[in-house]
Amino acid sequence: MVITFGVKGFFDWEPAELHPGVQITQKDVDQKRAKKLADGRWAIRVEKTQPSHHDTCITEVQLCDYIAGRTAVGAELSRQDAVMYLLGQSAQHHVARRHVCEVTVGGKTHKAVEVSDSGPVPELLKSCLEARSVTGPEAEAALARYLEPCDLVAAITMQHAAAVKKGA
Amino acid sequence: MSRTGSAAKILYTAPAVGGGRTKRHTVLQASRARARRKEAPATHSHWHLEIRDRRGRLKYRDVGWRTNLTTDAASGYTNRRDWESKALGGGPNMFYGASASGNATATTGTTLTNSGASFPTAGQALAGSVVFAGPNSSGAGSIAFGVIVSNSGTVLTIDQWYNPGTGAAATTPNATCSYCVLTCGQFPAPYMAVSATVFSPANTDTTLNGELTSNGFTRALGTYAHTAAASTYTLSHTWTATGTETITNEAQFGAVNTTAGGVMPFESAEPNSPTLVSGDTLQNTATITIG
Repeated sequence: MVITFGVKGFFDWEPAELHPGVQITQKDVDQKRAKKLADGRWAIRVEKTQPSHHDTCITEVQLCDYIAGRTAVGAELSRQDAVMYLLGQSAQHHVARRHVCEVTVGGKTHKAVEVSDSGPVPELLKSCLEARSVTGPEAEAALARYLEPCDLVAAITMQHAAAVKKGA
Repeated sequence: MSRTGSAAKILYTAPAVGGGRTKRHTVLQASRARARRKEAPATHSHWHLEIRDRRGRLKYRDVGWRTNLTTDAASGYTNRRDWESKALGGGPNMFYGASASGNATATTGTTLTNSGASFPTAGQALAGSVVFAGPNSSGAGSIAFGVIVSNSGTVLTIDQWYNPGTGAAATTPNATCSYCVLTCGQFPAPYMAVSATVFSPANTDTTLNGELTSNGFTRALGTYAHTAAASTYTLSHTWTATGTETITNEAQFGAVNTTAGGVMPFESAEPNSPTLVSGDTLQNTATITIG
């Protein structure tokens, strides 16, 4: 599965020496805005304003592996839940919600989000569950949740809308 | 101006580190001085680790990003520089000859043999290239691919057979399958692994000492993300612990199969070695700088 955001800006890293006078604090380090290089120099996270696109690749084996791992310890999550979690963990390092473009198609404005998804692979989830000794009704319930219909574009867009309301 | 004078004209003088004064020297002198120095530490990736309990509450988080150690020993298909040069430049065996495609005479879960082939064997040979297998001339057999970890003149040894659609393990192709070795570039290094063995990473490392294979911590494919025109990409993975483990080190690999290894371009120590219990999740993110 490939999830693509059209963006008008994004985070990137630059050597601190490109920004004469920049002062790096421990708070910057804690909040992952600055990082030290092995040779003692520093890099800082900067925001670039330019049109681009951000791609995240989540393979079906990752989704099934994550769902099976969580199921083995009692969690209940759908394929959509897994996608949203893995996407959130990854995208936060590259783009903020404010970077995502809006596009107008047919008079309707919506977020520039595209999802290329081949759909669930039930046999793969079954093998991942078996590998973690999840069998019987527990496995069947996990499989049913995995196969629940989902609209990933809507889910991603709704998450964005919720975040904007919260001021993210 | 004389020819000698033109050749000796100073085009650039490198500034001193920190802006102070430094002794002038020639490029040849700098080259000889560099030859006497050990390899300097290089930064090509950073790591961040986060642990949550089974309810999702944060238990542990790295303070900022940790710098990596880049493996740069000249010991074959094991280090970052060879991996990058082959991935970007194609490698020494690009379009090497007729046996880059054909029909196998035997296959196993980790080999493909063509008894009539003459695969190149010099240097790192075909290590890192990908071999795709398809149905035989009668149309029997499935499609799969493998990452070549070593080879002889007639046998390609792979890490495992993969399903191209899902990335999961695939069944062994037909014994007389058709095959094609993709000799341009090589397989990437998207797999992430962790260790519970206490050691200090060295740039001569070719494997992750004490790599975990149990309690939910098997080597796993990372989620890839990149913004077009940005200077980094990330790989991230979340493991769910099914037993108690203390994480000491992490690495990236170019193959999923632990026994076959594959290239290990980056390695990093976890200085505070957090302990996970069953139900905890370990979320690991590596940011790799590409320029």
